[in-house]
Order: sequence, then C-alpha cells, then structure tokens
Amino acid sequence: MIATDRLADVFVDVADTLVADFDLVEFLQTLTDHAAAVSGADAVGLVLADHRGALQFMAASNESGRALELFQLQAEEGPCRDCFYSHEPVVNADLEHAHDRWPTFARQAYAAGFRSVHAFPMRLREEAIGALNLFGSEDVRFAAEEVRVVQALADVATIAILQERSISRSEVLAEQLQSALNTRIVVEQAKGALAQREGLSVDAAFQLLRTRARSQSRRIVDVAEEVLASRTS
Amino acid sequence: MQLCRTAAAETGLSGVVVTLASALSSSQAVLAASDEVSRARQELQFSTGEGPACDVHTSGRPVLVPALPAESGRWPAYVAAAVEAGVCAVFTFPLHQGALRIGALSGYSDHPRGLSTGELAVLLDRAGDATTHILDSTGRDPGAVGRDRAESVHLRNEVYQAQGIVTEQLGVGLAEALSRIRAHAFAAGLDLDALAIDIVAGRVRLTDDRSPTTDPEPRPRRPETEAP
Repeated sequence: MIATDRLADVFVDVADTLVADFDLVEFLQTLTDHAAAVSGADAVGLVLADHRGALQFMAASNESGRALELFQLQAEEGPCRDCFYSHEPVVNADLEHAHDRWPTFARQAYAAGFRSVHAFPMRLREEAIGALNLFGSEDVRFAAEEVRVVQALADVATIAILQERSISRSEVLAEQLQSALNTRIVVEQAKGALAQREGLSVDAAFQLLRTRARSQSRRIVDVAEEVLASRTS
Repeated sequence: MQLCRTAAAETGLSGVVVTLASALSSSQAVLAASDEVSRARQELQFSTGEGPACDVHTSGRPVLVPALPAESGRWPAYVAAAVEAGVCAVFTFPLHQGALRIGALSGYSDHPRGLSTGELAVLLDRAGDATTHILDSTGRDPGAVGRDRAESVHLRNEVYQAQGIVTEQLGVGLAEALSRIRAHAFAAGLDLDALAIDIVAGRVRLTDDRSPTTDPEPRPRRPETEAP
C-alpha cells in the first residue's frame, strides 16, 4: 500500500536535488530508499541503459535489491527488462506463478524470499532510459492510482538524471547516461579503497562516503574522487 | 591503429585519434591515429595548451563540438590554430574506468556536422574498446584473461570494489590494481568475478608479488585476512 502521507516528503526531497548542486549518486540512493518507504516494498532497485541499450545496475535500497537487479541482468530476463523494452509498467506480478514468464529470475527471486514484483519504466518521450523495480516479500497488489504514484516517482528520477542540461538532442542523452554509469564505477572503486583504508565493510564505506558528502555539502562522486585521488595514476 | 581507421570509416569522420593522458601533467600523447593529418590536428592541443581533449580529461565527460569556429571564446588559441588546419567539427570522448582517466578518443570533421545517435554509439563503443585495449596491455598476461569485448569497462561491482581495495593494499594506481587482480586470477586459475568477490570479502589478499604468473605454487585457498 502506498503511504500517501510520506509522499510530500519525497517530492520535497526530489525538488531540493533539482535546485541544489546535483548529486546523482545520492539522489538515486535516496530515491530507492523513498520508493521502498512509500510503497512498503522490501527492496527497490534501479537500472539504467547504456548507449548500447544494455541495462546496468545503478542503485538499490538494500543488498537484496541489488542482488535481484543483478539476477535479472545476468539471466537476461525479468520484469525490469520487460518494462524497459515495452515502456509499460509491469505490476502485481506474482513470483510464485511467474515461472513461465521468467524461468530463471522467478526461481531465484522466490528462493530469496520474494513473492511479488513491480517494474516501472523510466521514460523520456519515445525512449526508455532505465527502470525502477519494487520487490515484496508478500504478494503485494497495487491499485491503479498507486501505480500512477510510483510511475510518477520513476518519471521524476528520469527528469533529475537528465536535468543537468536541457535535453534537446539524443547525443546529450547518451552522454549524460554514460557519465552517470561511470559515476557509479567511481563510487564502487572508492568504496573499496575506503573500506581497506578504514577497516570497514564496503557497505559501511558507502555510508561513510554519504555522510562525508552530506556534512561537507559536496557530491558523493567528488568525495569518492578525492578518496581515490592519490591512487589514480 | 586499426581501431582509429575503423571508427573513422564507421562514422564518416575525416580522422580519429586516441591520446593517452600523462599522469604527471595535463598533457596528452598521441597513442594512435587513423592518419597523419589527424595526428597533426590533435597535436595542436599540446602546442596551444588547450582544447576539448584537455577539458575531457578534467571533466571526465564527452565534449561534442559540431561547429568549431563558434567556440573561439572557449579555446581562443586552439580554435584559431585548428580552424586554420581545416577542422570544422571535433568530438572528444573520455577513455576512463571510474576514477581512472586514461586518455581520450577524438574524431575530426572537415565540415560542420553533428552526430547521429548511431554514430555517437559507435564512438562511445570505440572509446570503450580503446579503454579495454589499453587496460589489457598494462596487464602482465594480456592474452589470457579479459578477452570479452569491452570487458574492462563493464565489470561487476565487486571488481571495481576489489580494484579500490588493492590500490590501498599494494599502494598502486587503479590500472595497476586491475592488472594485478587479473594476473592473480590467471595464475590461480580463478574467474575474475570470483576472485573479486573473495577480495571484497577479505578471503584473499594480494601480496606484493611482482610476478604472480611465474609462481608455480597454487594460490592458498585459506583466508589470509579476516573479514571485518
């Protein structure tokens, strides 16, 4: 069920990112956290397409969300891919009865304790740039108006990703996505370096990067670049 | 390099050049060019000390210039020299892998033009191929692992994390870290992903062994460090 009382907070947060110095990594992380909180989903993941149209993992509300996205990317099947290619949401899919539709993914997700899945395309005009996935450990059903709310979140994410410059040309879109995908790699590298330096797990290292970025009012990717600065030659 | 000639032919550009960034300065050295005219055009950025490749190196983002004369406010000396040399459009893409900035791929046109979505995808692909090629050639055993197309650019998260961990463990750069992980995977007969997962979990720690591929002993399977 959608927690409509939390929606206002979500959109205020999102609006803030549109006016402030935009931090894509923090934004996508926050978006997946918000989507989970608002929808009651147990895991939320987000993928973006690169310039070849190949989906790449970008963010997840937790480790389960990340694993479920990676299952789909590896198996080359699942609701995420379906909604990305059809440009239409996949809602209320019951994983217990989805073996015909997604033989590998449905089995893996079910085994990991998930029962329902919903996927929302991130659309820009005629194109899709990625997808937002919600996973539930119970067979959660969304009503039509709830589908529209989550789709609105996905649309806002699309606008935020592409808002750094006005998108009048497809070349800018491809460039923007390529930069976004590389930003994630920078953060992964910095998580490893910081984890090793501070004796932390990589997840704790990511939290440290977020905290530092927030306290210094800087973008996570800039803090990540700084962590790696002495080691990039 | 064949890659430059192929990229030029695929996009109808007059020439394509791959440059390597120097770790010590902002200058870039030409690694390969489809032709000598394009090589000379690229070198105008060294002589003037400015231009799209310099900006790409700083920002890590592509710089697409469909009409170079219009950019004289941005790079006054470079635009004057390049227009004189017959350059009308230039498209420059970073060769990077996360925070590792390797160099740039630049495409030149003798007439003002943009890029179609397909042409842009080709150049992004070729930039990825060049990145993979350069990263592979820094490995100790480039023939053995990482043959998949664009493999170095699209690795799984754990490989990037392991790369960061190994930079700290061995005090080396990101490129060296990746080549050490690859060499270790090859020497131990391990899959790159599997080794990266072990490194991230703290089950494997690379030692500062300069020649892992010549080590006749199988790699120990026991944990060498404890997971936190």
